[in-house]
Amino acid sequence: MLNPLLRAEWLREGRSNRLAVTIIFYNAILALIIILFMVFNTESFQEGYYFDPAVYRFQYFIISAIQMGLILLFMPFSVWGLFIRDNDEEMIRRYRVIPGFSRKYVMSKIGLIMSIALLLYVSSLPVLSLACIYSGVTWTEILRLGLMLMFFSFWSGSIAVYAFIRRQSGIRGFSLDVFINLFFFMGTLLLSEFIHSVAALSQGAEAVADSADICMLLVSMNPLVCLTGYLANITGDNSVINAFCSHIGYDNSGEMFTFTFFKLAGLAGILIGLLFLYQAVAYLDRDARRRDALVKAETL
Amino acid sequence: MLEFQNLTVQKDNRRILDQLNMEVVDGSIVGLLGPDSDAKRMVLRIAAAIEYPDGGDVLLEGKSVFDKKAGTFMKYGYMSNDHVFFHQLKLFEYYEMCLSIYKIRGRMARIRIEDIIEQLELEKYTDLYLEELPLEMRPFVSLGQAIIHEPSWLLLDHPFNDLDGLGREKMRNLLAQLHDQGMSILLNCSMVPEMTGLLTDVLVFEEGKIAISGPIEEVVEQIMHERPVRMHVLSNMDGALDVLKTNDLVERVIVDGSHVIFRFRGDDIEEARLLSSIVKNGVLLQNYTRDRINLDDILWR
Repeated sequence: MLNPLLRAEWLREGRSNRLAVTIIFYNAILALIIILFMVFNTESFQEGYYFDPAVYRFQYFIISAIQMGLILLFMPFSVWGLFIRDNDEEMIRRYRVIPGFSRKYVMSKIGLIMSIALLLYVSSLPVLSLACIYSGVTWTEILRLGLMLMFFSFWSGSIAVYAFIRRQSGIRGFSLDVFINLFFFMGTLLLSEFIHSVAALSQGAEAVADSADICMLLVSMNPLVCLTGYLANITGDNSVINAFCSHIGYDNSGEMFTFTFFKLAGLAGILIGLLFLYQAVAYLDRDARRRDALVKAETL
Repeated sequence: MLEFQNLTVQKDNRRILDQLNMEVVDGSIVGLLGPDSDAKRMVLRIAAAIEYPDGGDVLLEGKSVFDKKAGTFMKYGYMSNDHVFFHQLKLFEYYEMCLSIYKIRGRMARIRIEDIIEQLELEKYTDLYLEELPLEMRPFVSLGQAIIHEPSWLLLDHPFNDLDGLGREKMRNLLAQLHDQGMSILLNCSMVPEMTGLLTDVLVFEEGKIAISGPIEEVVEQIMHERPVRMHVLSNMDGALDVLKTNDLVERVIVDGSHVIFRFRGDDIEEARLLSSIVKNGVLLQNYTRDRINLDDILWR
């Protein structure tokens, strides 16, 4: 049975002009980038010019990365708009006593977010196909881009939903959302750098080796790792992750590393998203106020 | 039965409800009246488990309304006074969503929605989005949302707001109809004409507590009987005051020139005896009346 709240969200979003404007601007940005690439590569279309596919595959990666970046950058703003404060707050208060409502409510929000991301991806396929034509990207890589967009929208959408549910006002929810995103994007890197530095300064080579494992574990929670994995997959360029591993002293020469690490990072991202969704449901469901009220009653 | 046990609500250092204890029996239409609008609204919202009290509990048929497992949420419907809707939905879609939350779907849901739309006379608004509805139809849509799952209790917060004369009459008739169908109603309202003949009991709130409660006829009689008495004394004011001071049923005697104003707590016979005593004491009275009182000021604020 379809979540009734998700259906209502689809109807609400579909009937507003915000979605149409989002699709138009999203595709306009991508089209502009494609056109710019075509302008920069005018010579390559002339007869006799040597066609270097690596350059175009890298351009395809840039277009893909920009799509992911747009999703991540505008997620807090778009989720903010999904929480129409009066309607949602009153509805939550009215129905939260019904078992299962909190779960349906949270799932309706994340369901809508991922539906919008999927819609944006599908709407961008004609523009992306231009990149396919001259870069030689295959259909599997186009699909992989779709999966990456779903991953990033799930990850950032889960955090945004949690943040806006956890905080009563839009500004506070937005701030919490940005803070959590910054923690994962930059905090994990800074923390791993800190751990590596402390280990290197104080305890020597053995400690550095141990700290490298911890640093890799921390960094696996950073969604940018998935992006570097995608870069490696599209362009064959592992330089980013190699540089990082080299810096912290981690040996990534093994064949299994490339196979497992990026998948581990993807799994970590999904688990983090699920954790935030669980926390959002738990926050709505909590009986803490009731327990607090009962405790207060004993003291009054 | 709906029971409120030791309800206490405190917000911003003010006690909105103060150890409230009351019972509302099945089959009644109870009006929440009086000047304390915060308390009246809070009673309804707590009964609907929308707000949590700082102390106490609300039991519906012996089970706490805050206990999810008790399933009391199916037994009451709440109508707020601000008519919060999903504005981009149409009427049928909105009711369908509300019923789905109560896990009622499919053919049963469709039949129920059609019945509600017919009962509330909303047929000509089914093609409109909720934000396009005329203002005077929104309370009826809100009422529909409250009764969509066929509860046995209705908690209505200002159901007559935003309605003109015809609308109020229609709402009154609907509430009477729902009562005849077996629903018990607890409503917060301030419109005097529509309440006439509708309410079975009233609860008058003042400062977070119930000041007066009971069947509406008894409450009105009690209030009317507590109106101040005003006497115009032409001579022997001291004699009149002597009689009043010796009578235990007389309170708050005020002398204003040749007028004496006081409150009398006795019944009609005792009042007649008091008047006879005053006259027998040689007091010359020109006028003996009870002050006019605006019932609205007492009950309907």
